[in-house]
Amino acid sequence: MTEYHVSFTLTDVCHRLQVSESLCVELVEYGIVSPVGPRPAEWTFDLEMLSSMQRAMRLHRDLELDWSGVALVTELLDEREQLRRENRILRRRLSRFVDDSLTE
Amino acid sequence: MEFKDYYDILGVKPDDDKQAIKKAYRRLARKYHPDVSSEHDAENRFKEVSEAYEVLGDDTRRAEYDQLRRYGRKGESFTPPPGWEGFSGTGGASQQGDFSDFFETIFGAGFAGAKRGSRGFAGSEDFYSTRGRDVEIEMPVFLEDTLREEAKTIEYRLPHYDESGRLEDVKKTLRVKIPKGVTDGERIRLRNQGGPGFGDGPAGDLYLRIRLVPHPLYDVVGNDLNLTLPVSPWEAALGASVTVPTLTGKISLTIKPDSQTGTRLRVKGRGLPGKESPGDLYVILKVVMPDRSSEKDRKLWQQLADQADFNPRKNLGS
Repeated sequence: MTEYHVSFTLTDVCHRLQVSESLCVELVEYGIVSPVGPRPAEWTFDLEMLSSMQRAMRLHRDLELDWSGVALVTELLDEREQLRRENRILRRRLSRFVDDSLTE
Repeated sequence: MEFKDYYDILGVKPDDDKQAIKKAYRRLARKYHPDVSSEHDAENRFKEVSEAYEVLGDDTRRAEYDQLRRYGRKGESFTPPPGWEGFSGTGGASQQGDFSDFFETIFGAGFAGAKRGSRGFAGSEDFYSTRGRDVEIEMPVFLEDTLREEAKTIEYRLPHYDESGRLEDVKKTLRVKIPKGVTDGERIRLRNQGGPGFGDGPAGDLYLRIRLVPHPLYDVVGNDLNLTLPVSPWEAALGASVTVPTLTGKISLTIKPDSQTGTRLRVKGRGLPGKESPGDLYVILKVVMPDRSSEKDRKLWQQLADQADFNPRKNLGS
């Protein structure tokens, strides 16, 4: 029941997101996700990608963004997440050396 | 059941036009969208805003709501007037989401069908047999628990369709195995443990999103761990052999003479277990002074001060 390494084909992903294959291919073309494999029929998607695509669908639907807007937001959100993680690490490291209200 | 003032939620006036309502919705949707917002309670606020727009953004539903609004006031308990049967699905495209009891009562169970259909793009799938929703929950994991496979009991809430097709929450308990070497942000899939399917549709999946709980001693960087190790000035000056805790037990570590604050010592393979190979532990030295020096200590420091040739502020030009 529990799965740790899951990969999906294009057909799986479309079925799960309930979208057409051409839309899935479009999301890949916009760089919202980058599946592994040379051709759509051989693409594999992992859980992260599936969840990015779900997020993309939500942004498109709820905020009425077009796909290039979604791609941009996705990129910025990922970057923000990365920066936040880095910031957390650095703040913690700093807090071990400096007594300061700056650190949590 | 509490009356919901949708105008209030969107921050618009009851006589505002459709354009103003749309504008207000767009602004609030951006502000509270759970995928982008850092606001407190964003998810619930977003649901509320979506629900309000679902009603006020649709002419028919808005007219029906305006009629009803004469009977209720914000924050007050609300019972539909006698003879009220609820509007049957005014249908049309709609957001998916869990709407409030208030909404469900007014716009009726008939609307539930429209809601589910709204996932759209259903393709060849039977409209009445839809796969259940995927559910994602956060799973806090202690660093110590990543060392081996750990069984954990999780509790979560799932939407559930009652007999009339209405959504309600049910509590579910599940025993899951968290594999060795999970990392922060990683997702684990539990097949068919998510939201129930509709009709003959299968249940959705449950995703556990791993969040490593901050440790009082170790900081995580990828699979590596950082440990800040306090040492005395004489240990740093003379070198020493000290005992250091690691996730898998104590080890002995040699500190070289003339070590500095910030010096990093790598202990191979004592980081997090990882999927393929374990990370390393980095011990970062921090030279600390005693809280207070005794008279005897002070004399020794004084000797050092008189004899040592060391200017720590050379770079400052002093």
